[in-house]
Amino acid sequence: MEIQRADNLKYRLLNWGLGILLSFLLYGYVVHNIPYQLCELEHENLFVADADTWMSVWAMPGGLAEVLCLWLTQFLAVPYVGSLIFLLPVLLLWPVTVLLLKRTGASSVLIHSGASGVVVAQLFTQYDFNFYESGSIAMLAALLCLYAISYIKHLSYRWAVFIGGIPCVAWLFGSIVVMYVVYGSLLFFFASRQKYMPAVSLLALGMVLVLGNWLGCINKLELFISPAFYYRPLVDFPVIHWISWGFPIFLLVVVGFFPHWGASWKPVTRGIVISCLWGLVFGIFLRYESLFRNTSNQTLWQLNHYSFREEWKDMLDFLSSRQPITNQLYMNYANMALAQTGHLGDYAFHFSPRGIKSLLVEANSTASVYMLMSDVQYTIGGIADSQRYAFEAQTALPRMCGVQTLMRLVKTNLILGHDMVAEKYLALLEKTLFYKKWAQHYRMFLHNPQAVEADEELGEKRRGLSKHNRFVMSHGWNRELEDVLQADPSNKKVVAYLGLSYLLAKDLQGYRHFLETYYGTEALETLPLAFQQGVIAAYPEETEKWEHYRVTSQVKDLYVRYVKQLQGLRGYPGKKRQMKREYGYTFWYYYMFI
Amino acid sequence: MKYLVCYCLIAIVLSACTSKVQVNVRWQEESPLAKEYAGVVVPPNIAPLNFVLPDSVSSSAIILTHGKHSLIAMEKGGAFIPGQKEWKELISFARGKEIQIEHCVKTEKGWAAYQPFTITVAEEPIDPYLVYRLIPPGYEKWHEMGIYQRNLETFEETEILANRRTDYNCINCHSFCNQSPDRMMLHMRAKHAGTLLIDHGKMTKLDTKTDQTISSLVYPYWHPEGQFIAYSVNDTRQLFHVHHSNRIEVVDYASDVVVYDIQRNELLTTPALFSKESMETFPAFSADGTKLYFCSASQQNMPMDYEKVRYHLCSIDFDAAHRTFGSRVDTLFHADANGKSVSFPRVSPDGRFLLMTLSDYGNFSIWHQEADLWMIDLQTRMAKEVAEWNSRSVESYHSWSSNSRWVVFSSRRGDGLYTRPYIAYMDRAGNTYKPFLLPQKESGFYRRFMFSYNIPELVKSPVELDNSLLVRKAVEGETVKIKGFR
Repeated sequence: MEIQRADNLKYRLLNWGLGILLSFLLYGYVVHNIPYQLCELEHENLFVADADTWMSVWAMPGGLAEVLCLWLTQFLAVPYVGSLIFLLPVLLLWPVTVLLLKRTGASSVLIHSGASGVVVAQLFTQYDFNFYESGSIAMLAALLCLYAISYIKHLSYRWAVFIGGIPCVAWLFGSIVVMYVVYGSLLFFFASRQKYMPAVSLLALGMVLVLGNWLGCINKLELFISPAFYYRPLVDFPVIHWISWGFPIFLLVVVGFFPHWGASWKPVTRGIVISCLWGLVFGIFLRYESLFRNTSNQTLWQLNHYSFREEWKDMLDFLSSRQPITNQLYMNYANMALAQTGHLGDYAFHFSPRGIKSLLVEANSTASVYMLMSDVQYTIGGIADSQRYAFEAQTALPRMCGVQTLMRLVKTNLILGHDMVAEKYLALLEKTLFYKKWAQHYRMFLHNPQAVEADEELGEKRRGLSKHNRFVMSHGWNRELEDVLQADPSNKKVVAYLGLSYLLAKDLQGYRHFLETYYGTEALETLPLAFQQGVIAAYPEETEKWEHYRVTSQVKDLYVRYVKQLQGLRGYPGKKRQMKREYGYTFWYYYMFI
Repeated sequence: MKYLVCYCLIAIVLSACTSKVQVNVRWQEESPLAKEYAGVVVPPNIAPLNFVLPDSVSSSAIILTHGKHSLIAMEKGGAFIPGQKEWKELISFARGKEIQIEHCVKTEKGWAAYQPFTITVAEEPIDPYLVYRLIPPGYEKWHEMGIYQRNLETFEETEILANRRTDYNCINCHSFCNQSPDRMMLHMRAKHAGTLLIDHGKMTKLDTKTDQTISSLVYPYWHPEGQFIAYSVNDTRQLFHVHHSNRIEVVDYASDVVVYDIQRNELLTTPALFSKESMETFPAFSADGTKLYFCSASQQNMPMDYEKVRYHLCSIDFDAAHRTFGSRVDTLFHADANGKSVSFPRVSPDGRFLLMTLSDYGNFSIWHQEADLWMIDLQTRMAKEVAEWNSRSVESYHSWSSNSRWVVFSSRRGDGLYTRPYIAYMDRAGNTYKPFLLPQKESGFYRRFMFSYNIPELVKSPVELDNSLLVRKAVEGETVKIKGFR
């Protein structure tokens, strides 16, 4: 007996130890692999701490899970803490599942390692950016409810509470009620072996669903019986995510039918099997984790985070480490960061631009791209368009309101003098945890044009507002930039964008006109490196122009070397590759080879 | 003895409640509430008004009195909202008469009151339901929107159709025949595109695009007898200003007016409504159905000359029995002569007045800060601005109650962007009175609400459609193609 107890303690320690190890592993992966995905989630949502938000718990099915999810989401951008918050509902599934399975009286070796499989399955689903954390919260809540109900000793009362809880779970937590009913029915069936009660509970679930649909509480019945309820609307729900519901039920069935599997084995055998099962879980996670992680968007989210925080140097360092860049969105960010740090005219060609869209992409109806366009337009002083794209981004968000879009809308409305709208958005941000101070600071600009004009950022943007009106992009991108320069001739960022737009379009005639118009003005007292290269390209034979525009000797020497190299590689099939290696960062290479 | 003690305690508690505010001092100043609310006329069946004062101090209250009936509303969250039951009682006593409002503030010396002001309770009730679309005031993209109805006698709002049930398509242009919910229609765009026509529970989904028209049917207006619906067909584009008080310009490159014969499932028109040289839009039948009003502007070079587009208000006879139009077009309001452009002509159900929106140019007036409401007396044909209803911001879409005494209109006077519905009274003589904002249950509602109220339409009773049936028809229903011109 003593030996048996000691052995059980040993296995319990082994299981819990491995469980903790798995937790650390998952935490490490989240911290390392998807920190900016979490930031993006935070930026795209808004938790307003007021009575209306908490009242909305009752307003629609799944309300409580949704509000809790939003409440947790506001912490996701906090380094390390956000990762823990993201993982917590998933990690807690492990002890809850273990305890639930043990309530059936089982002592199977499958319990602990199987429960870790539940965690991994749920994490794989939650990895999906389009899956709301409310789904994991709902699952945890449903299982906790079942655990609490399992303590009701009297069988009839237990079933009564379980069935009576169906509409409550449906209303508070959403479609997880299906899992609650199936899991709970099996759980209590294994405990009591009352055959008809599961049928009764399924019938009760059916009635709740039909009634809910008829009353209009349930939008779409097919959504409400699926984990797709917690998925971003208008995005196809991946079938693989059914595993987050299916595996816990499968585990319960197996443990239910083989409750003591392995319990009577020799200690060594038991230990080996337990270790192998855990190894299987670890192995599945390590092998398939990257498949569930949205690797392609992690970079975009990281860049957006830098942009949101205005960490331009970090953005440039990051992009430099990701060279060569081929994604136009990244090029947009690179050029924006260069402009913000005053180096666009110097280093624009370091990031391998491809045409004018490297400066401003086209919309594709996603919030990320709209927000990027809003950022770029804001940088160049296209405030009306920046506001428009921020609003479009906000509309594209699943919850139609996000911190990042609201902050941009506050600024653009202040710049344009729409103070009452700005005040409306500030009132929301003042009720958040992390942006309250920001909102309180910006409140001082309301109905205070002098403060707006005196502010370094807002004032610069207001000065750049076009003196005459027309429709956005009605005369092309360059005209937009020229209008800003006309209003604010000292705007170095915009003149860099304008010059670069001619160079990227290979419009040397336009570039010559640009030089004649803006060289020597406050915005363009001296030419940055790429612009000097442009001078040489625009006036290849007119060296007096090089003198006039004060092309430096370093640039001239570089050109000489470039031409010499070019001539030396005449007829060589790998000429482009060779030139790219040595001169790919120059305008001359771009002009000749891109 | 113990009963006596209980009764005394109850009496003390009750008296404490009713005489919570005992005015000791009367100030000479006008209450800050008076600017917004003094002179407002309310229907006798409206939910409690929200007397909003964001800078109010927490220890303040209003006392509403009519004769010996009174109620007190304490300040909460920047507004005074009377209890529903007490309000209903008071307003029933004050029907056709005035209610005095005393705004009181607690000071060190007790309660002090500003000069009282009055609101009037009209005799005539308002149609008890208001139907509108809720949609963010966005640009091109949309996500969530829906058509809802609000019981004006309570604070209850229910969904008629939300687009989360129809794959997030665009639902718009709901319209009713004579403020009756039994005959209505609405459009859907993008997914499940079509027009849903509902006639006493019978739902039909129409495909209204024909080869002869430039678009599917757009802006609707029912014939009073219910067999026809006038529509515009429009080639509409959206443009964005670089630096203008109006963010967006929505312009028609071309438009025409047609009439849809519901029974025969075909379109009617006439050259005056279907001209290439001009753009016709916003049709509206007269109250007796013998005239069709519409807006007409000369075709311009778009979008360059968008500011030159000014719509006149015109009318043409319509013979419902023979399905024919008159040959003469009458101009009631000449745009160029007045330097204004007309949109949304709407005739009162008694046929006496025509309410319209005027803006400096164009027709999509919700994006024009200068847009205002004007009224034409159809007996005298005199047009005048409805100054009491206008503000420095947009006043645009409007609709009449079935008794022609109440108007609901859209206004952005709150913050310049989010459209809110305002309710206003007009008496038989055509005198107009100060409007009030649609009341809500919570004081901070509009500050937080991120949707605009679009196309507010008064209806006589609730829209009672089986929501799941409506959704099924919208999403899966067979579409009936309309015939073109006969």
